[in-house]
Amino acid sequence: MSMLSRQSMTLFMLAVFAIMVGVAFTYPEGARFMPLTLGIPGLLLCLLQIGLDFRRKPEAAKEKDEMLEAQEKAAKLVGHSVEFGNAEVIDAPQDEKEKIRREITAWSFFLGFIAGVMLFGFYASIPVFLAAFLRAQAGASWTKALTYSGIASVAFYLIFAKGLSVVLYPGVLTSLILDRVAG
Amino acid sequence: MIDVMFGSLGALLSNPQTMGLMLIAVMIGLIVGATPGIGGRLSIALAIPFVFGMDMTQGAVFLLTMHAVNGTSGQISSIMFGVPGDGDDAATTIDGYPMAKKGEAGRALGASITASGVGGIIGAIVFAVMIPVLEPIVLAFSPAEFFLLAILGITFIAFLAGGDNIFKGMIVGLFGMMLATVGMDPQTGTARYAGDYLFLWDGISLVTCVLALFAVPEMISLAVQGGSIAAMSTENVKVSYKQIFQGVLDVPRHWFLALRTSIIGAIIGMVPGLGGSAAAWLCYGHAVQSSKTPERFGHGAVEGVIAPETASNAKEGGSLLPTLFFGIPGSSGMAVMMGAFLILGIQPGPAMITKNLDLVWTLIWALVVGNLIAVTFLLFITRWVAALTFINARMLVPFIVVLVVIGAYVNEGQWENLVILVAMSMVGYAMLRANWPRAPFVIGLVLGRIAEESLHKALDLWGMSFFTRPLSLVLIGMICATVAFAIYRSRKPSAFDSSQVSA
Repeated sequence: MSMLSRQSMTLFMLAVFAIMVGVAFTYPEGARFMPLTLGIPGLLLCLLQIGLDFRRKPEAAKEKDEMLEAQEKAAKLVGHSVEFGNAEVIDAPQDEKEKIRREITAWSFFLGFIAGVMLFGFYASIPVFLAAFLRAQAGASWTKALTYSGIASVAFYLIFAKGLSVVLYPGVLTSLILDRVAG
Repeated sequence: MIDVMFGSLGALLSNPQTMGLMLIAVMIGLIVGATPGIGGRLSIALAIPFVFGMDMTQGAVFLLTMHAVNGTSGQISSIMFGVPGDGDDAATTIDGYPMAKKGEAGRALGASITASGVGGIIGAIVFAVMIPVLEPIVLAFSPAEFFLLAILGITFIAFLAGGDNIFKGMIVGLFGMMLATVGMDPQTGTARYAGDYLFLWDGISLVTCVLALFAVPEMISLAVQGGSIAAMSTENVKVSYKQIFQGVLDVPRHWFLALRTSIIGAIIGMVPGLGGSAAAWLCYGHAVQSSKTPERFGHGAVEGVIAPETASNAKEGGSLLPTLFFGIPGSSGMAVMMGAFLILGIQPGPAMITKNLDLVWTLIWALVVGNLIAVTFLLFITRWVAALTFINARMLVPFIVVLVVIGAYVNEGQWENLVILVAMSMVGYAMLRANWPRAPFVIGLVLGRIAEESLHKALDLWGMSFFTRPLSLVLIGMICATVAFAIYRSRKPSAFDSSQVSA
């Protein structure tokens, strides 16, 4: 992770605390007490963390492999080297560029699903999202994707609508259309 | 007390609906535990939509049982394939995997499953034993002490975030506490950070935040990374029932070690933020140090399997204690559990001892019975459960995402929570990518509400002099010591490598 991206999280937190502390000053005395009690130390800690981020050498910032770390820890405890299994992850991203591309795709699916729920409601969006994700991301065939999404959608409907009597969001457009149809 | 204790057991066992729910919870818990990419806290968060409308006790029993047995099946892949599912299981791999390579996989699995069950049961017993001890302390706590306890909870978590993460842990914890101030101020009635958005006047939904911070980032990460492990050969991995039985008998053979590590695990669980990973590693170290033949460890010593497994399951009983009686979650899993308890109408705090002791005992018995059922099941089906290790995790992602979105919506029945879900998911994913700890956020969010409420009550009762109450001074001393030690530790991280956060 580069220096900039390491610091960007700290900068984001700094901005959040700064805004929240700034806004807190506009509240009456009793209401601003807690936000200021928490926000000011938060701001100071963010500044301290930025200093630490700058001071830290890039090689020290390298992300450690969890498995290797566990093996090192184990070796210290037993006094000799310890070997874990060699698990091969299928279809892991080869480089950072591919990782970012996959992240954009995964986020697009997630945001698309949320937008679908907002517009068309849960019952219309769930089967579409499931089928599309299974086909495009999980590598399932169309038959499998449609079958699984169909079964799951019916199961979700039976569990929530019939079993638990939960009213799921119908969506803005679906509600409008249903209202028009109902006259 | 005795009446309540056995009355709760009778009520639990004689209710077929509750027992049926426990069976379902055990099955789900075991499957989730063995499936890569789905942790304990995620499974509770995902189960929240299903407990809506459930009876308070049944819902709590269902969630707790599911959470308690998660770890029992988690170690299968560590032993059979040397691939630990998470930090808790890594310590088991040190001796479990060499045992499998020597052709003793069945024995290692038998020992680890039994040890998990024994740990879970002893953890519940430790919790039960602590009730009469803690009762006068809990009842002596006033709002002043609850405020300071909330602050201590955050400093503990930051302290345990370890190494470079101490200040990050504090920042994230404070961020969680800060977001807890969103909504109507209980003192002045001012809508803080809520503007004209009515849905924010009641504050930010804990369940939505938990799902956003943990579930969505993990699912995005799983979709990006692949997550499925290439199927490994099981040709040399022998799992016969004879071997499994031999492993089961290894636990009573090393009963004193199992008892010690269970008690240590339960006590570690009581400390907020110190997760199962620390308990497992600490107890593994204890097993090595207390052994007359430490040279066997790392080459397939069965004690090396028993010690971490008892500890990591015993901590569940321990972590329930601060969660139920002080409203301070012992781990991020318990923070999620606490959110679910609040939804079910269970208000953690001193009233759990004074008014809801029957529920507390039901939960303790649920831990005991749940672990017994899980061990019995798993001893028979372990070889088939192992196949879950190689499941294509990407196939699970969309179903989990659907459950997450439904969970965020049904929690309050407001579509605006979906917007919060998206915004907080982005923050959660950024934290995951930047390697920032996320557990302190959830715990901060829970503690923020308790802290503010208690602070106002304390100020109304005693003014600023509440800081000079004897119990307050003890807690202030503990806070200062924790912060000082955290700073010292951040300057000399190498001396404390073995205790890493996994809250």
